[in-house]
Amino acid sequence: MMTDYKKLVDRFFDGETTIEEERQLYRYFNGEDVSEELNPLQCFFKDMAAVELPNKVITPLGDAPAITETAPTRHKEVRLRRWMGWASAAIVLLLFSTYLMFQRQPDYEAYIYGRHSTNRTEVMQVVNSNLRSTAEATPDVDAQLKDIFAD
Amino acid sequence: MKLRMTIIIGLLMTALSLSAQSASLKINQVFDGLVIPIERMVLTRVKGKALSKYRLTYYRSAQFICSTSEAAEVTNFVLADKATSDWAGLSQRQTWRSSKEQLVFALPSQRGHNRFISLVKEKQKHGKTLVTLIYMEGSVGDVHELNKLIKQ
Repeated sequence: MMTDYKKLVDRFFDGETTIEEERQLYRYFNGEDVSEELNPLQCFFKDMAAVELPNKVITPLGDAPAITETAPTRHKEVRLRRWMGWASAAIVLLLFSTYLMFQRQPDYEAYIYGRHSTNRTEVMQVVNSNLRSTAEATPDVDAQLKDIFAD
Repeated sequence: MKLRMTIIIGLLMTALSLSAQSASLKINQVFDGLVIPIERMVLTRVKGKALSKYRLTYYRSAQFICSTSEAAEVTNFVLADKATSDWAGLSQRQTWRSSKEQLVFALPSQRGHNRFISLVKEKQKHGKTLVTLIYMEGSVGDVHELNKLIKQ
């Protein structure tokens, strides 16, 4: 048995082990039955297990379940759910913005007696004419007196 | 959850308020065709660079020939909006001639934009009136500056 783990350790250092074999090693080194020969590596494999599976508890071989989920995993799920909430809110906002964008009116728009026009020249002609008529009616005392007393 | 809802509602309200420019003005009823049918008007709406020479960013106008009572209704809407201008002591100009009446005034600025309304009424034959109603927004300072820019 010990030879098997020694071989597994050799394969581990050669990078040939599968994930399941690595988990097997972590479980072995987390147990009490580590052989004297492999004992110096126990600390290393415990650290590796902590790095590889930070949210799992590695129980010694023979214990079931071998890898159990811990509280941090549940926290992670809660966090994930929160992020999903935010993501869905962001999607709603994105859809709403897109809707507003498509609703956006063109920069030049006119309804000339019911006929819709977005022709810049045509629209600006009306605008300039209207603005001129606004400016023309400046206080003109002569014209006002003439209007009042012309009769 | 409450925080998220508050933020979403806040953003939606902001978006809606931005999309509804000058929504609270009475004269919008004229622009929306609620006083004179759209088929009888020349309505324009312009925004952006084309107005930069007048230092404006948004322009909306309605021009139509109408009866005296319709003209009076439009005038009442304009005067209702003018009340806010009178209260704020903003610039305005009013001219009167037997054939032409004009009123231009500034509204309280909104989101850093100065806002103006112009109403021109010209008497036509058969007791009709040609009405030109304009709503403008931009950085132009006051009615007199706007007048100068238009005349340039």
